[in-house]
Parts: sequence; structure tokens; C-alpha cells
Amino acid sequence: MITCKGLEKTYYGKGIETKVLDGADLSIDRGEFVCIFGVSGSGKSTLLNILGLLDAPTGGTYFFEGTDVTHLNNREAARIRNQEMGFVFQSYHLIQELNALENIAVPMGYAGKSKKERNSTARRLLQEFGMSELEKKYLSQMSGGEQQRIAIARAIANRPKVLFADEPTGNLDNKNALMVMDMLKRLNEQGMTVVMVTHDTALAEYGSRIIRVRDGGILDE
Amino acid sequence: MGYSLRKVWIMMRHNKQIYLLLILELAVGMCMYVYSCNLSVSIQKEEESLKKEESGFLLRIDTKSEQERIGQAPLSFDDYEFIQSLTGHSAELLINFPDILIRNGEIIDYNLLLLDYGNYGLKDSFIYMGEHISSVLGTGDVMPGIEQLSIKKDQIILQTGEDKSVAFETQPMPIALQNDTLRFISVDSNVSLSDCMLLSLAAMDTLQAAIQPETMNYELRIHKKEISEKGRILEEITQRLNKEHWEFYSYEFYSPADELRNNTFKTKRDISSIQKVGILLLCTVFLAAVSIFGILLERRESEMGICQACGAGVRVIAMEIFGEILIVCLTGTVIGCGAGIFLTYNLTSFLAGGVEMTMQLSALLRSLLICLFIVTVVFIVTIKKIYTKSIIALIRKQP
Repeated sequence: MITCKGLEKTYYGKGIETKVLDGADLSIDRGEFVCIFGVSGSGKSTLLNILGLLDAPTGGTYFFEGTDVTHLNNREAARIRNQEMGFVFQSYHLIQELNALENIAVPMGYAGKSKKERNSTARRLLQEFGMSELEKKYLSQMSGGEQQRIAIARAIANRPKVLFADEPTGNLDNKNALMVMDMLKRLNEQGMTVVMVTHDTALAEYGSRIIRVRDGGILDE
Repeated sequence: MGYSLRKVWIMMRHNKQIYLLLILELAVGMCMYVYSCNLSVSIQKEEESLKKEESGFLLRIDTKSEQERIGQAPLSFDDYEFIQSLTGHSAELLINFPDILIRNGEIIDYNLLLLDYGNYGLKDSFIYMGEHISSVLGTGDVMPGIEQLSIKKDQIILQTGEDKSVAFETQPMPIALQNDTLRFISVDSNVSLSDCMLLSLAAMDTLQAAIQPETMNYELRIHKKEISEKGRILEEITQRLNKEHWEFYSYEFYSPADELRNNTFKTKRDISSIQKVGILLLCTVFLAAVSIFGILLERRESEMGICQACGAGVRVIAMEIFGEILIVCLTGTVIGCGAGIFLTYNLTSFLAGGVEMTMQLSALLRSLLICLFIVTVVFIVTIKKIYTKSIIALIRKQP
């Protein structure tokens, strides 16, 4: 499903070059639950961002479902992000001007779905995650755990093939962290490919495969 | 598209205070601009029409003393004859009762008009009086000092007191003048001379004695564009009048066209200042719009990144932002142009110096173009970040 060869990422700023990824190779099959594990600054989040088409590599190739997406045009990349991928961030990154229902509906809106369809799907997801009462609530009225679950619901609203999660439990307490991990596990059991970044060894055990990253390179699997 | 519009609406609702402020700012700027454009063009048109007008002179008569001058007419028949002899019969004498006019079939006000028609080749001087004077019979107080006015076939009788009356012989209006109209200085309507009849001007002095002179508005118009030795003749007339009636009146000739021209020149100078202020205001509004939108959108960088992460293309995000800017600027422009139009038609006396204001479509079109210019520049300045930054950099608000 995902194949990367020699991925590189270098940041340029104020005359300083920072090489974050240096020749990373990896492949991920459909239905896997892959945990990318590494210490802070190892390049794991950068790798995930590239896999999620949120950033572009400065070198190497990236194939997604057999298509070279390394230098894809913006429109096609947006379509893939919308239809095939979902992304969950450590800081949830919900839109504060929208309520829970509207946040979940964002990807569906950009997919061109009707208001009726958006709302019914969003309500169904809220119900599945046991958060129906949060429908009209805004971010300031929700806890961190609730926000992260809304973020997961948003990420899977368009039934993507792969879900990328960047330290999804980083800002949560143990109870909410376990709740979120259970959700990700359940989604994987339902057939969704999950790629998760973490620096927590305990959480890395949730994955069917662990990829270790160090100093911008894949150390081992 | 529908989703984007809905999202734009939600975002604008959440930032409504700032957007309302921007709209108000734009409206004020556009209002000033539209009004000053209309004012400027109206004055230009007025100036052009002034150039075509015959350059004539009017005699301004000012009263010195209220009490003593009752019964003292500012212009006698002898004075009038003297003026005609000096100006080669180029003077036209009009004496109006201000604010009183009679028009065909309808009494609006009452106006007594005396006209010098020596220019029309008539033998003698006559007074014209509105034909429908009979309509005011019995109404009393239509002319101060006249208790009653009655018209018989060839006579008009003014009853000025219990035992006092004055009778004037009338004659029909000459055919040559029947189609002429006169424009009154003090009113807007024209009176057709065919509606008038003649009275003997020789009775003017008597009429003046019968009617309180302060109600009369004298207008001596010298029509010739360039009478020879203009300065000397006008000076001589003024000297004579001042000598004859020095106790009660003062006299001065002036050119209405020149006065209006001077007023419009002064007004044009003011208009030029207003236009500069209007343009400065628009520049301030433009800078404010750029800054405020820049700050607003910087706060929403993360949101733009999140939407892209959810599958929105850069163009879609750009269209949403463009839509927000366009809605705000267009709303402000429409309100401002509306206010400018309202001021144009309702504030004619302000700075206009009596100029008739007209609405210029070009001012509205220019305002729209300025609005689109502001939208375009604000959009380009604020949008470049989403094209230059990666999605993750937008989400994390990284430089």
C-alpha cells in the first residue's frame, strides 16, 4: 500500500540546513497497524507528515497504492488526503469556530457530500463513539479526550484507507489515552490501515509492527 | 462550493465584530468618495452652463431703515427712465413681490410683475400683473398693505384702506410677448406672459405708495453683454440712486454669473480638499483592510492547514478567503455608495453653493473598481502564506 525509498527531508532556514530524514525506506501493507517509534527529534513525525502528504520530501520516492505521489500536484494530493487518508494530530487541531458535528463534517464537505449526508454520517459516528450529546458543543465545552475522539471521527468520516496518527495520546491522561488506543485498534480490526507515531513503548505494543526511527533513518523493524 | 459558502458564513459570524468595523470603515470612505465625485462633476457642469449665460448685471438694493422708509420706493419711474437712457434701453426692470406667485389656473403665491418692454417696441411702459388676480379676491392680506383687489374688464382696483383705493387701467398683452416666459428669481416656476395683463407703469409710483415697499423685490437687469463704458455707466446709475434715496436705501450692481462663478470656485477649492480627504480616507481604509485581514487570517493559519489536511485544495481555501474579503468589501461599498447617493440628493446646500447636484454613474463604477482593487490586493497579500508554507507548517503556525 505504502512504499518509500530513500526518503529525505531537509529544512532550510537562515542559512542553516537541517536534515531531518536521511534515506528512509519503508513499506506498509493494507490492514496493518504500524507504530513508528523513536525518541524526540528522531524524524518520526516528519516521516508521518510526508506519508500523510502534509509535507513534501526533498529527496526519495513515495508510492501510495501504486501511484507515485512524491511530486503530486496540489489538487490530486488534496483528493488523496480527502478520500484515501485520515490524519489525527497530537493537539487534536479541531476548528474552534465549528461545533463537534461541523468539525466531523469537514472532510465530507470538501468531498462534495450533501448537508444531509454529512450530518447523518457525523451523527452516526458520534453515536458509535458514544458522544451524541456533544453534537452542538464547541471546543471550549469539551475535554481533551472528547476532542481527540472527535478528531478521530473527523479523520475517518470519508472512510479512508489509511489513518495516520501523530502521537494521538500525547496530550491525554491514561484513561483517555487507553480509550483512544482502543478506538484505533477497533478501526484497524475493521480493516483500516493505521500508522501511528509514538515515543511511548507501551503504546507501540498496540501495533502489529514497530518501525524504529533514529536520526532520520529507519533503524529496524 | 455550497459547503465552502456555508463555512465562510460560519467564520464570518464568529468574527462579526471585526468585519462590521471594516464594513463601516469602507462605507464611510466610499460615501465620501461618491459624494465628492458627484459634487465635483455637478460644479463643473454648472460652470459650463455659466459660460453660456449672458453676462448681465443686477442691482442689489439694501434697506437702511425700516421705519422711515415706509412709502419710500427704492426706484422711481424717473430713475428708471434715467437708467434706460444711459444703457440704451438694455435694462429690464422686474419688480416682484417675493414669495407670492400666481400661475395658470392655480394660486401658489401672488406675484406682481413689472416689466420694461421698451425692448419690444411698445410705446409706453406698463406694469404686468398676473391674470388670475381675480382668484384672490376677497381673500384679503394677499399683498401687505392691500385690503382688497378687484379686477374689472379694463381696470384693477386696489383697496388700500377703508376709504382709499387705487385704480389702474389695463391693456391686453401684446401678441409678441404672449409666448414669452419669465423666470422669477425668488421662485422656481416660470410664468407665461400670456397669463398676464398690462397696467400702466406710469402708475408705478402710486402703486408703490399703496403697497409697502419692503415687500417688493426690485431687479434691474442690464442684458447687454458688453455695454460700452460699462464701469462708468454703472457707477453713474449707482450714484444717482444713492443720491435720490440715500436716506433709505443703498445700491450696488453685481454680476450673478460672476458671483456664482466665484462661489463655485471657492466651492471647487473646498471640493478639491474633500476629494483629497476622501482619497486619504480610502487609502487608510485600504491599509486597515490589509492589516486587519492579515491579522485575522494569520490567526486562522492553523484552520487553513487543517482544512487542507482534511482534503481541501489550496485553491478551495483561497476561494473561501477571497469570498470573505469580497463579501466584506462589497457590503461596505454598497452601503457607502447608497449613503453617497442619499447625500447627493439630500445635502445639496452643503458646500454646493446652490449648485444643482446630479448623480454620476461613473462615480459608482469607480467605487466598484476601487472595491475590487482593494479586494484583489488584500487577497494577494494575505493569501501568499498558504501557497508558500507546507500544510504541516500552517497547522503548527511555523514560519
